[in-house]
Amino acid sequence: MTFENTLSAFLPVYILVGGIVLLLLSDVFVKKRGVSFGLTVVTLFSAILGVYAYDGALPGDGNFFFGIFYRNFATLTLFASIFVAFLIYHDFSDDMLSWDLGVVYTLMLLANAGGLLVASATNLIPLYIGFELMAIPNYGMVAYKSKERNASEAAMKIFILGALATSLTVFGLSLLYGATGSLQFNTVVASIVSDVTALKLLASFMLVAGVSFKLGLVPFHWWISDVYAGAPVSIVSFMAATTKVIGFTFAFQLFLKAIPNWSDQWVFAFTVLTILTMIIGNALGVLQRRVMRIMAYSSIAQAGYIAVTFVNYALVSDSNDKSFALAAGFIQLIAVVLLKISALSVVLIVVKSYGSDDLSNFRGLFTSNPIVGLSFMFALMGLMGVPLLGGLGFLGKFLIVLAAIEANTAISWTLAIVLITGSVISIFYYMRIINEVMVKEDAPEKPLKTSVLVNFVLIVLTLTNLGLMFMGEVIPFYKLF
Amino acid sequence: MIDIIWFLLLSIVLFSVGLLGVITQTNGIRILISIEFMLNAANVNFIAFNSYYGLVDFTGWSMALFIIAIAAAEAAIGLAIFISVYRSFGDITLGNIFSLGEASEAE
Repeated sequence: MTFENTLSAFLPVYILVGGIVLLLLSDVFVKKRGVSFGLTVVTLFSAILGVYAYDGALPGDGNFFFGIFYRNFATLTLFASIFVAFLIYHDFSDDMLSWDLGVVYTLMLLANAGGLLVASATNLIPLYIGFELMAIPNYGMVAYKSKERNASEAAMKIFILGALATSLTVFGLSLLYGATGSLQFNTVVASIVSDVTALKLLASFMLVAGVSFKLGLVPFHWWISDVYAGAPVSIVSFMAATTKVIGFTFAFQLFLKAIPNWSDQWVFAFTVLTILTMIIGNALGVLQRRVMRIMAYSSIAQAGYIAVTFVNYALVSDSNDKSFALAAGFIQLIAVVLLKISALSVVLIVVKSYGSDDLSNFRGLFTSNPIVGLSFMFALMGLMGVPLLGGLGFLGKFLIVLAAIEANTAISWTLAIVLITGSVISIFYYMRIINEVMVKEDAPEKPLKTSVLVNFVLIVLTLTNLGLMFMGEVIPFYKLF
Repeated sequence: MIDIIWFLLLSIVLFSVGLLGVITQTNGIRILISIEFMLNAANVNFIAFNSYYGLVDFTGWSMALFIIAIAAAEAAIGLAIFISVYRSFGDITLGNIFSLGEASEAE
């Protein structure tokens, strides 16, 4: 483990830390919002390039592996954060606090460094530390607008639930250590130290519960809708995109890389949780009146679709099939990032212009601003999973169903059918929003306050979503991992 | 040497006390204390299991150190959040401050 190796392997983390130092300095000496914003975007871009600087493991060290899994997930995390940076710039524009925008960006870059650790770790210690490095700044970001009552209340909720999830996960990890005698993935997978089923069962149960709290699977989901409704919209887009990606990276690393051969303990738990999530998450969304709450329940349902990957991965034995199952989940994750950020940036524009996210404020959006209205409709159709018009959103769901059929067991067929049923239920609430967007009568009088940056984000994300639909032509899916 | 099962029992009791506290208590500070209970239950496990497996490496001990550090960071940001909640609501009792619930918005 020479110095040069370490330097190039952890280059993106060093870039992020350097960016943080520069941001804090510019906050003190320059005090220009544009400078903070530019620094953040440049840092994230160069971190993406830095991800590709090193390949393979560090010599003489088994705690990190910089393979294709790391590159895919790290790139997606950083890519999502770039667009979130645009939204934060638009959201925190007319505050008294606006000059220290650098603090929010600092927290965001810290969370990204955590994501890089999570994606590269092959030891449960750095995995857990990286996960906490993502979670703790996230609480701070939600609480950042401390003058707003709703934001501080949402911060209190996400903090208590997040800390509870952390303690469940840590307790599960300690039992896992007790059952295997090691925290390194290789030894954990190979270990037959203990055959105590009770210990394994309790450990898996704790880990599943802790991870489900973070990902928002039913019945651990109820904090999500309150936090989404209270937190600033741009921070919600951070939680729906970057945090979601890092959370799933953590869960994939933990369940699919570290304890895959305990699958008889956790497959059943995940089957029940995903079925509940896909049905209840979508059904609760139908009842909502505020768009932010609809977005929250759609986020819960999407997490349920992606979580089917755990079961798919565990039930197939061929390594090509395993990579295909993981690739399906990853593609749906890309789709969620693209679609959620573009839908939430429209919500952000509306909240900024009219002060609330009530459904009536979205009336006539299509006629008053075609770019915003059209990309909103594309985003919603993607979340719904409409073929062709939905772009990647359809492809991801399609591949997850395909991977479930590939596994060809009773459990996976049930999951495939429930996934399709859930998508059908979700059409109700997405269609309600699309209906409001298209109606011309009784539209709000005031013009929309949009900005070039947000329009740029919307156009880029919509086109990327539609373009990536054809990614199967370029690279076969099972080669993604 | 004391049998490993007693350490396991101690940690499970600590964890259950903490979980019960998080579920039943409404005061923010008490919930924070309960969460510390749960994290320290995990610490007991890590340290006991490390001794149980012999001192060939210090995996469990180093994990316990990291958990202590992370628990401190979490307590710090938690108290900061509670202060900001106290400034807006004048209270940190959970039942009194909730204005975001779906039931209260419908009215």
